[in-house]
Amino acid sequence: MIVNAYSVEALAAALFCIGLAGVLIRRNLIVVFVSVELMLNAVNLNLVALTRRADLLVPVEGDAVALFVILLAACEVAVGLGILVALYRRFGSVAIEDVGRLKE
Amino acid sequence: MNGAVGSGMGWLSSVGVLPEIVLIGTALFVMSTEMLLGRRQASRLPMLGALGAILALLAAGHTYRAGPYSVFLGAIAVDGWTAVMRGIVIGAGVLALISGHHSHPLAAWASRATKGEEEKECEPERDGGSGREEESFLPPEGTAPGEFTGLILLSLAGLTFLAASRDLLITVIALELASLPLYPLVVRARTRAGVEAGVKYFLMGATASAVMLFGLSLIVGVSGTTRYAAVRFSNTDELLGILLFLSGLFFKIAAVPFHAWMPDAYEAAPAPVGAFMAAAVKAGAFGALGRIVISGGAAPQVLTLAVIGLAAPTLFLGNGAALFQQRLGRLWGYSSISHTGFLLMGIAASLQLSATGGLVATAVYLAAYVPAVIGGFCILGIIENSSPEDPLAAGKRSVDRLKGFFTRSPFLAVAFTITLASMAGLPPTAGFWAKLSVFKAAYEAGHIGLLLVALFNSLMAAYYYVRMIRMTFSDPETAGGEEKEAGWRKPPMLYGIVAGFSAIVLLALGIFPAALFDPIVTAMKRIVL
Repeated sequence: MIVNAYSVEALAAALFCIGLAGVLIRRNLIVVFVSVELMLNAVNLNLVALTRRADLLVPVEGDAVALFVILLAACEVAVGLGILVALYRRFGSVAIEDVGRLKE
Repeated sequence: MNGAVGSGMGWLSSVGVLPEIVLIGTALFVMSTEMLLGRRQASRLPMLGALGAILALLAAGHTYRAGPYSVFLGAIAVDGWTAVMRGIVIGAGVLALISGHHSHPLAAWASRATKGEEEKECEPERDGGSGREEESFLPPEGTAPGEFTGLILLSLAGLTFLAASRDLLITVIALELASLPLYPLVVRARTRAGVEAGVKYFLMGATASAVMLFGLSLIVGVSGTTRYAAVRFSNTDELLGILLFLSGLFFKIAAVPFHAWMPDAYEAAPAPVGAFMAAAVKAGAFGALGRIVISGGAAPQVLTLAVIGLAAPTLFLGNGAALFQQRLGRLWGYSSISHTGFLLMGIAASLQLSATGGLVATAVYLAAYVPAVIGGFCILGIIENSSPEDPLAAGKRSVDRLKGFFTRSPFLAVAFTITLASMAGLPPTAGFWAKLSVFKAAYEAGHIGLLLVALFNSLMAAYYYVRMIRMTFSDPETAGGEEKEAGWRKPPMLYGIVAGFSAIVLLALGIFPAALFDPIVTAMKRIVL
């Protein structure tokens, strides 16, 4: 089955918006972090779909760029989960309500 | 000018990124030797890192003299703008590393973290004698000066790549390389405030880079390549893409809708890390913005309007929030946001005019801003370390602690006054020429409305800077002065040296502005388009 590249791009845009909404709305920091990953995967989907687009004048190696995005996402996970573990140890919770204290 | 584009990935390419190779090499060396060294030797690693950074500065000068050229198939430009930004960013890194030497500030934070009442699961206490540590500057367990050094150096390498990159993807990777090491540095003060600020900074930063990458994927979808030169703003998709891409950079410089992390991070970070974030990261992100202006296609009116539309609220919010701020860390955060507003004036002007005019103003402003903000954070470090109590006790970073600073250490108070005068833009300091040059650029670009906003805001800013100067020279303390006097401890020496050095630089550049302008103007004539 050949999927139209444009519908894949629409799906990517939808995923990105869902991720962004998750970052803004969800109260659990782990879920917020997962939403960020969802945004990054939307980027990947968009890039990979580019390689299937017929109307581009030059062939685009979107999948090569997607590899770099995967790499960046992996680095972010390594740092981010470490920080979230530190947060959980200090506060005993990963809910936003329990954390905000700096502003006073 | 693109003499050596065809040279591909050979020897010349490696020479072109020699400063970054030196930085990353030093970082890896420092981080890997730390575990072989004893604690006393390890505490000297920040100095070694500073030496490596100075070596990278020399290498940057060498690559600059070899003439403007681009390497890695045109993805990295080695030209005047790269050289100016490398100079500013690596210079800021050297000062931050030196002020973080002795790991005294970090030691103070970490010893609290291993002893304080809120830590339950941290490593069990070893030698409790914090008094002995302070005398010999021996870092307690749990602080790793090598890690601090290595992370700062890696971040530096990312920041210098930002100014050199002519490729969207390399810019994103450089931005990640610059910011990922900073998240643990904010958290490493293992306190509630530190972790909280670190999580906020990290989640917002990760979101910003995801937004940036989505913008990249939209641009690639239109132009078919990741090079700046191919960005043509031809249709809405591409314009949306570039706006999303730029918002990642606006996050790093903390322009207004993306500014929320900055006061928190500055408040919680140890002073040398705060100095690095305020000086080097801001300069690096502006380096990337400047490169986009240089290498990208002619910007449409919408983009100029967007930058102006960001600059004005950034100025108002930064200065407005700083006016009555009582905590020095947050105050530096808000004042840093307002400086972003002034710097954006230069970028807006460069979008309007031929690129160089506004970019010279931006670079001059950065060159004057970096020593000032590093000096400011060193004073913050001195103040919070100046009493024998907990460095995290409430009010340790309060502006009120500046009272009587002059009677306690007159030289530092004078240095602090010069720093504040430069931030406020008063002559005869470098800050005056910086403000003058961005105002002139905005005037020449015809942004009169923005210019008026900026003039009004420099008055607002002068109010709180002068308030701090007045506090510095006021009497030590009215009630219980003797008790407080006894509590004043000699500040860590290197903070004082860096603060003094920054003040001298600001004063010298203010009296001899040619030393500030000439190198930047000359360098901007050697640009790879």
